[in-house]
Amino acid sequence: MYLVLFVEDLVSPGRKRAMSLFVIAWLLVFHYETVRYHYLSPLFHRELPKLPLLFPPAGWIMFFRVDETEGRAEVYGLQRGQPVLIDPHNIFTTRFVGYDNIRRNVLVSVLYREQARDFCRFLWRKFPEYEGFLVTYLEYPSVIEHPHQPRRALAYRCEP
Amino acid sequence: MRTLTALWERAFLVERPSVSLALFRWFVALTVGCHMIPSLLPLADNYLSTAFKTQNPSFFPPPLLAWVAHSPDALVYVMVGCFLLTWLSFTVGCYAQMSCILMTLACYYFYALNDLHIGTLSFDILLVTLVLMCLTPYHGDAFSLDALRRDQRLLVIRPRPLFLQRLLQLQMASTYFFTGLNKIIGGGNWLTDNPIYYLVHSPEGSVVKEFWGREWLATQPQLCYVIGLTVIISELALPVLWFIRRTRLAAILIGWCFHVLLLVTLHVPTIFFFLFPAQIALFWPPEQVVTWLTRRR
Repeated sequence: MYLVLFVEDLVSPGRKRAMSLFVIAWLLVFHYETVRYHYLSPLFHRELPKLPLLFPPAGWIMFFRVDETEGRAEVYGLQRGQPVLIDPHNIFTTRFVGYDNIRRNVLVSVLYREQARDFCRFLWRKFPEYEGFLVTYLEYPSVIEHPHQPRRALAYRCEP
Repeated sequence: MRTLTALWERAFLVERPSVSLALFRWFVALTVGCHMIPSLLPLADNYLSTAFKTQNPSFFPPPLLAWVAHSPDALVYVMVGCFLLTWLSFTVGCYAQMSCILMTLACYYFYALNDLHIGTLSFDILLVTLVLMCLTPYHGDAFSLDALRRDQRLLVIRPRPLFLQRLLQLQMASTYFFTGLNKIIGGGNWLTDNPIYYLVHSPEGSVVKEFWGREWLATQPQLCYVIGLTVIISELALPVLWFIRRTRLAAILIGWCFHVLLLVTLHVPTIFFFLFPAQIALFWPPEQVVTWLTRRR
């Protein structure tokens, strides 16, 4: 006999009331956060407050807008003044199970100017063999019309 | 009023076996482990003072971020130990609820410390699931050390109020439905444009995998558009079909197939292959899960 059926700890009416109140509160907050960013804020013409520490900031939005442009970051190390492309997998070496975070464009986070100081410090620690680094933005204006003509722009430079 | 009360009772408060939640606990643990542990391996790159870190001020209050950012390396090591211990304890169901609470707090800590790798929409979704799992000890009722300690057996059928399982179902349904809805309104461009066509044309090294048939699909814009429409229809319809008894099994199978397709074609985070399929399975009536398990015994 593997089964044990418990009937002694039935839920009291007080606990049921507490559960009901929680469920109502949860459903209200859950649906508010689901529609807040994309539907309620435009409706009220102002950014409505977000509940901190829970729920995605913009609701459930997986792959909701995909256009023909594509952008990513590239990092070049300088050797004798010449730029050498550094494999992003050598920059961020974390390997996840079943997917490649580099291909999810994690490196694009380093493009922000306010990140430059920290990222340069990180690069100097990881790649002391280089004389400097160039952090660039690679943009494909159209993956359909010009798939082999990306544009590069310098985001910032790391110098000793 | 009486009908409403009865409906509410049936939807959230009726006591049904908690065994589905116990099985779901394993998948939550697997997802958390696969999400967190790889990021803890290169600790110097990700969390110590030598790491490159980014923060998420739209999720965390700035004072909390500032406080966590001042973590000395010793605290990071302690938190790694806490996370691994509580994760293991949650996985085997030892003081399952307390383990879940502490593990979730550790997840929050690392997310606040550096959101560069783990901080995606997927992690926010995972945290919603984790917070719900923290609410009750129901997921420790079976297939756990708690069950062995209390009842000297792993398979324990304990009726519990359904509200937790129902909220997890509603979370899944909302995630699907609003993902579909946002594709057509709320900023989405899946009706006015051809996103799948763009995705299969994305350059090497992008989020799209080199799956079989990709090159051929890149020459079929109309087919890509039809696939896009099918995705939207599925995302809008499945949340309804999961709740209808006659369509449930087919809808669960379609949901699983959808996730297999995602795995084959895109670099999607762990949540898509361990958590979502298991969360979809929570729509299966717990009594039938019990019947299936007892037959196997």
